[in-house]
Amino acid sequence: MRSEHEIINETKFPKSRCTYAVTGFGILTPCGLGLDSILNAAADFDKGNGIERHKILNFNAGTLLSDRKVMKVVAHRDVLGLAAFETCLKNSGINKENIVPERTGMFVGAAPSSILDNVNYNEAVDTLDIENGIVDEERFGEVFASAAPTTLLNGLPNNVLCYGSKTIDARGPNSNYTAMETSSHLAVYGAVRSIKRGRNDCVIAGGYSSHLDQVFLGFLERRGLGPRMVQNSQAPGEDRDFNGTDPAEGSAFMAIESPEHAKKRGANVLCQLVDVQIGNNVCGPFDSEAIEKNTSIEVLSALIVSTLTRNNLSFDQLGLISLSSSGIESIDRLEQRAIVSLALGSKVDISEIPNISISRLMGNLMEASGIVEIALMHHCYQKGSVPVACLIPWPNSSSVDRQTIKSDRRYGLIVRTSMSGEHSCVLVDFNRG
Amino acid sequence: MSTTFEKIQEIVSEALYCDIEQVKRDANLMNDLGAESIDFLDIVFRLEKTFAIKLPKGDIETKARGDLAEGEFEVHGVLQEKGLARLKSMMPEVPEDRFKAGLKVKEIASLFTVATFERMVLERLNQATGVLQTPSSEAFTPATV
Amino acid sequence: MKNHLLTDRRRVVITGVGAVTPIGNSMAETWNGIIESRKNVRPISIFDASKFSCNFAYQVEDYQLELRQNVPTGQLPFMNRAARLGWNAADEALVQANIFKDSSINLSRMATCIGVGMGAADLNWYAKIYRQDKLDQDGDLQYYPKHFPSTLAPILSAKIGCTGGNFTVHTACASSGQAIGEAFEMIACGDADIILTGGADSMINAFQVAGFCLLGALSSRKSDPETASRPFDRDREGFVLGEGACMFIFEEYEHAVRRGAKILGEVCGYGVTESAYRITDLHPEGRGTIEAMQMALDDAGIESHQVGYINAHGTSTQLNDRIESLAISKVFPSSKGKTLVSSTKSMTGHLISAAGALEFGIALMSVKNQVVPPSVNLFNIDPNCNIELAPSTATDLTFDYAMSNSIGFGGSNTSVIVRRYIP
Repeated sequence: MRSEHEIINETKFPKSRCTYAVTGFGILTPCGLGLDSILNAAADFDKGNGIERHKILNFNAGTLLSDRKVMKVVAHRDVLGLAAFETCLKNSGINKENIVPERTGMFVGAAPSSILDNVNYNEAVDTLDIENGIVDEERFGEVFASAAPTTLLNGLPNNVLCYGSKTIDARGPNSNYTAMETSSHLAVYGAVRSIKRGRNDCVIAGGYSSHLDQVFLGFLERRGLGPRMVQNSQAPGEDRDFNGTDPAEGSAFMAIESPEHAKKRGANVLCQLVDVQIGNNVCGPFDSEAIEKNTSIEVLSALIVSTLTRNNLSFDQLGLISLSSSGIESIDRLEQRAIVSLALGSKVDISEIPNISISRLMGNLMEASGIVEIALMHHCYQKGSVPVACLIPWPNSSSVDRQTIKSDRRYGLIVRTSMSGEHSCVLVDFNRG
Repeated sequence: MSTTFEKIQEIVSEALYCDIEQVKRDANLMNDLGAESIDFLDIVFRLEKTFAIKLPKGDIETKARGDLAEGEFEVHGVLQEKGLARLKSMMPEVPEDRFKAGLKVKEIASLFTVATFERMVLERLNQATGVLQTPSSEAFTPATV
Repeated sequence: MKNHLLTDRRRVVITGVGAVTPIGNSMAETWNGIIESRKNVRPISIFDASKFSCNFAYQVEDYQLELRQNVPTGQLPFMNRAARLGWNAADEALVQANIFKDSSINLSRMATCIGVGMGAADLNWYAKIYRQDKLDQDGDLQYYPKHFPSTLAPILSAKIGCTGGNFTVHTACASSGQAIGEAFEMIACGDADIILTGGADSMINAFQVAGFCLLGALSSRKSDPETASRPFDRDREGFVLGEGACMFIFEEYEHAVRRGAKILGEVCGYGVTESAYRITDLHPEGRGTIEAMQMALDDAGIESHQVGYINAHGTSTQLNDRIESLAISKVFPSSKGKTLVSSTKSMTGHLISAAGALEFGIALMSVKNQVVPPSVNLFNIDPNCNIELAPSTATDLTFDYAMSNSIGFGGSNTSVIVRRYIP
């Protein structure tokens, strides 16, 4: 077995070549539509007021979707995804007229279909006799013969890709991934790779999630992964002793363009993606105990180091860091350990770099979280500081963690680990000068 | 109590997410109301459920084909003169200029107007009840609604 | 369309392949089945399908579900039918490429990229969950994600010990064509050196067969299931479900040569588009499908007439075969007599999200063995399908490039080109 040091110091990753312009966000969370709603909620939270968590209330999809007909075919999670997608279009100014259809595409981190989403299945199963746990299959066939013809489509994991692409006539390379909390970063990775390869010059990438049904929550509970769900959906405050995550529904997309494309259409560049890398642990899916015991800190550390070094950057150029901070102790500890030890090795005082997270505020946005974090960082850079509600303390931090971003540190680093075993590492340049 | 046509209007507007005012008798499903293939399946499903009737797939084609000899109805999927004439007489609600030469069997759905569904539903209901109804505004409340 | 693709990419070769299909328990067996025009279609025995408008499918045999290597006990309950098939196909490919024993492989530069289906819910399990009666919570609920499509890639990565990323790609029937294309792309642009890629799927369960029946997508030729899947035939009337998996080891060329791996073929072009049209309909003029094929040709840097064989998506639905033929005839205008087309779904059924992988595997075997698979169940060629269909028996042909197409619900189109490898 090679030492951690050896692996980390290998420069085995080819160097990234260019940056990619981020020109818009579309965000829908329990706090509301748009990033401002999150910041308002954060301010409320800081004042000690309760805020909405987990569920998106008062949401009128009809006002956000240009093609309302999709609502009869797709599931609730897809509607959330499409609403954020269309919001992203408005925010970035991307429309049918200023793109080349064959060179525009969506890259999506999709939520797997929830078994309880499909009303048609449920209605059919409701009518069946179940004896000793065995369903009368013959009867099922009879009942189902008169179910709605679009029943199957409700469960398609690429509904958002399909209808979103149709909305702006995006006919270029595209993809659709599922990888729990890292899904949207996989989408960003796919987008960047495709631009780099010369296939796309404009991409809308993001993810969406709605894992609030009792089956998924029951599963998390059985696996020791969560949930610390407070049923009345008001902010529960911090329960530091609780081990487990707290799913929230949400969706987020961002517009990524080649710098030339953004310039040509006169887009407002909000920040620039420098690099995205994907890795994984070898623990198998949904095994938090294995993550605890496993040596996967090496994998994660190597991923972070190579993301920095192949872009000729060092730790002391980071102004903000965002980790999963989802409440699953094994994952949170692993990520913090990796970062803290790398900072130590680089002789950087970690408490100088605010560690921000969205999940403390509203729960774990799962497939959508990777994009919301980039948007939150963008905002923090504009203001130069981080709302307290989004600040996660570093372990054993001697002083109060810093809330303001050091002005000479223009890069933000986002690290995520999913419960199914993927790691992602995204590096963003927030220089506005 | 709503008329059969009003019911159909409601169903079509729900299935296509369009305003009920748009669902006029002469509105073409595809061209005017933007229906695609799953919408046809969906509308037929809703009609069958609402009126407790069966609208078999390809019914119009089967009936139009009738006793025509092979090659008289269609050749290589393209409707022939006799086939077109049959369809035209069976679908009086569709404007004549829509039955263009070269029309394919697969394009029959593109002829459908809201009135086509109304006619089909009424035909089925008449068969079921034996009561003659015209597609005007006679009140009818289906047994299942 | 102008070719914008960067040309300074790395070469990608195939050093392992494995398949578990209704006609074979390995890629070799499956290929033999293809050239012998074998079919394994029969009444569905996995559940009671007697009341369905389609009650037959291309099923694998029970022994094909027995796992070839031990899966850790904590992961085993996450494996559904598709994952088991995928695991077995992956094992064959991994062994062939000597991944387990070759210590020279840097596992941090190896990834998995798998095309998967919608996930499959067993009716009894679902009913229990939904009704919440008699739910053995530890047994059932603890492994709920068994019904997610995304558990296979992490399980395979854990088995191999590779850490370069688990990619689970889902674009319906184009899933594994897309997974393969992305694996190619990742190696080509330097993000990985070696990738286990492919697809696994089984939708032969009560919910999903019911769902397809409701859409009217399946053939209801109950009187003669053997001839129900008849791509490009005049009287086709829907597809027939199949199940199975096909996996590959893709590797950077120098990497493969350096470690002495046997090279089976070269992946040389990938095209991917969205039709941006409708969820279940193809664009009437083949938009999207045309551009995907053209993009793959541009990527490979070849002219259309250089492609000797196209394994079409050819599902045996009226719409797909007609539109795909139209698209092929537009991209291959001067290829009459030069490029043969067939769809092997008449022999394997439609493996849905694993179809792209299996058919790419068949394209690979075709160009490697210089044999074009036969057109089976083609009784009367649909005059609307104006393409050069392969003869009814396997045919010898000298050619260098084969293409595999996939077209999915939701408008995804992929084309991948494999090149004959001559050492």
